[in-house]
Amino acid sequence: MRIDRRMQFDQRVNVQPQASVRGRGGWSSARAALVAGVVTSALAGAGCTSSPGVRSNADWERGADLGPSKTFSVTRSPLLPADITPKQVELMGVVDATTRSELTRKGYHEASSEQAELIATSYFIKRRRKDVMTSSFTCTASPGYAMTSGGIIKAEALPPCEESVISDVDEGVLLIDLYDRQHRQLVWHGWATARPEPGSPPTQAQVAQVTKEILEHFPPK
Amino acid sequence: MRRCVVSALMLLLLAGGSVACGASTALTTKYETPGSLAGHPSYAFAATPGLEEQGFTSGHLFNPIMQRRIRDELSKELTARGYKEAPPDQASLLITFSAGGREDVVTPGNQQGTEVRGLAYTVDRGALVLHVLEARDKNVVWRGWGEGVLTSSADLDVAVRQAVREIMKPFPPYQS
Repeated sequence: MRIDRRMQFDQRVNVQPQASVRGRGGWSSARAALVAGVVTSALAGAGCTSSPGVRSNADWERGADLGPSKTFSVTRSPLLPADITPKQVELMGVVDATTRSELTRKGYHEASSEQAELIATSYFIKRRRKDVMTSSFTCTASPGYAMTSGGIIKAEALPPCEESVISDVDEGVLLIDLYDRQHRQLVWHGWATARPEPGSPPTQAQVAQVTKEILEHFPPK
Repeated sequence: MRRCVVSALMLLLLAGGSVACGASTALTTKYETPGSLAGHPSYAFAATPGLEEQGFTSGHLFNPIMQRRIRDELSKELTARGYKEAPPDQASLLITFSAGGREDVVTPGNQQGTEVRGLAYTVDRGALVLHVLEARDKNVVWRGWGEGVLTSSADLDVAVRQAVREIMKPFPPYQS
């Protein structure tokens, strides 16, 4: 298909497809799954985490005490949509459970929401992004091309040809916030982005993995 | 080194009547002075609306952590110039700011369309807008705008504070 498009694009040269690579912002063989904005892991691509196609990062209040001596509680975020589906509720439950286990593993102690020093919440959003697919070909000269160009061009002297296709893609973002309950302030904000493969809903294991990848940034080093 | 999400906050100062530009390796700044700052010794921060200008929209990065950071750095800059923070009902100047991001597609020769020759790629840009208003009539007396791209390895705290300082460079000291 790509060869056909290339031929239509420039019919004066013979093209030999070499590679098809994604431009920045895409994944070469992504199989990311996303349901209603919940981020899942994906294959291929590079990111801040070990899940290909998933990129995570965090921001936090510099100077805030976020050490493991703190207690925490996990509660439902007010930023979750009102019309959240049962499937989404299930997956957000996985996020909550993973958050509990990860914070406990890091040395934090769970407490009631009325007494915990840190309150953890999670939610998701979906946004429209651009995806760039670049195909690289070796342009070889045909006698007709060389003649119409007004000179003799050796085939090996021609540069590689590239063509980029730009399309819209939905990207899901999973966000985890940590609040200082006493001061009623957001003190840590972590997130991960991934792009879905249509028709491939995320698994609980994938959602748990992405949650872990976000929390790899906590506490800040 | 792992490749992280590119955060997008840069500073670009828009200049109205007089265009003054500044640039570092990563950001571009401009400012405009539609009014006078003379005789306004005190300031307060007003509500920070989301940014909806020139394709930039406020996203999850413009959260309370970011807003406190910007406010803190602005306070340092204003204090250094002789302005004093006051309660909103007593301040002579009101400071508002907003920030947002925008995804751009970069193509060879600025080609348009969904199929282009050559290598295209996306880049995330961010913008931070500062408004200084007279508290009495809410007229804008000074406006700064910054825009640019942060590398994936950029420390958000360092980068945003630097951006605030760059925008504020042409902001005058207090004059009675």
